[in-house]
Amino acid sequence: MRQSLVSAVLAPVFLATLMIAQEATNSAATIATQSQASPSNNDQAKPAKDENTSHKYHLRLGGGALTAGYVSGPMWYPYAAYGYYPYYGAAFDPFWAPLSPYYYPASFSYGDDKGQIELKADPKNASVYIDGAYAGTVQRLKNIWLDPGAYDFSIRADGREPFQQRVYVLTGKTLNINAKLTAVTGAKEEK
Amino acid sequence: MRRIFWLVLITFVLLAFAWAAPKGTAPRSSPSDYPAHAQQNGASLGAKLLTSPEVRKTFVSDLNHCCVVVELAVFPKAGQNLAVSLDDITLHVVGTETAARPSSATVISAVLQKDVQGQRDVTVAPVVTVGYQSGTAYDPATGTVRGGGVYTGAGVGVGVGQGGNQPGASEKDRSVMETELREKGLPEGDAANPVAGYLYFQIPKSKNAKYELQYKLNGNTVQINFK
Repeated sequence: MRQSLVSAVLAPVFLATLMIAQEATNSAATIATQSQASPSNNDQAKPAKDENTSHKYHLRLGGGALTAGYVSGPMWYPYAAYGYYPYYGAAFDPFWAPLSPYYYPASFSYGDDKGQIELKADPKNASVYIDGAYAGTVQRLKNIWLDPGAYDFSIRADGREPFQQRVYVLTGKTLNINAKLTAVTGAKEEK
Repeated sequence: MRRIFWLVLITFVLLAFAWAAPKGTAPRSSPSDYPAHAQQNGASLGAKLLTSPEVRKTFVSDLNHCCVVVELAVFPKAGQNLAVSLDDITLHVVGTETAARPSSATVISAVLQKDVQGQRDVTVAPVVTVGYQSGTAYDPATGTVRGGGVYTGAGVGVGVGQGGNQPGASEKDRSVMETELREKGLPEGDAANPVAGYLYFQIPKSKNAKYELQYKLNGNTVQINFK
């Protein structure tokens, strides 16, 4: 009897926790705007699905796993439904992708107790500053995870009007910032 | 020497208070730029009742859960100071006996935190397995030998727990909400120039309710009706 055992596993584990139903309201992006921020630069919040937000229960879709495998040779099943599959595979964690263009410094990486800023800005090579400290360029900071807190968020680029905004980050909430830096008046005249 | 010490200390404390004082929002150029406005003895008020989408867009804190939010701008008479105090403001629900004074950022943030902590979290985790096995296998559960082939499995895990990880549940989040509400709130104190900011009234929201803002301005009550 052939005793060889070969297995292959594909296990795309969806670690991201998606909020559905009522939870969509909670995760709706909201931008906190201070007076110094130009209204034209503010992003609109994602539309909430439900106006009434006073539900007591939140439904989450989380930790879903789709597994596929191939087993060759006889197997011992200790249980009727599930066995010890000697899978040799690698789990895929979507939040750790050092080779992707979405890689960001560890300090801005995903965390359960953090809030997210989704950044879209033009030009892409503009510099991002958080509380006055340089954080990187726009193209490298599409998703920023920050500890809960209030931050002075600014984006600067040569020849462009700076974008400045006071942002408030809450655990598990996503803020959208969509900033288009307009050319400074002097630069326009030169053209 | 001791005097200098106290002088420095008092200056430092005053600066700290000034730094921590609410900033409010930028007032519009005139009271008529607000949907509702009124005037009394040269001083003017402009106000706007925020709708639920506007609240969601303006605040990270989920104020739609607890409050009616009003943006109020106070325009003092030229050359005169005007004392702005939240105690002078009341919001009435027209046709009812419901009325409320603006709540502080501390109170509102605590209410929001308590509300979130009382929520339940239901997590659903589906698992689907598809595989292929060649050869045979002994199944001790049934005592039979199975042939190979495609095998499948499916399962769902359901967890119910408290909303500990919800936005606004932790102490850090409460502190952030308090900061946001305080920084955007109407600044109190003597104002020589126009000031504006948000007021948070703990009144249950109702779609068809009409609200009326009353402000004691220079000893007289000014009334602003929101349509």
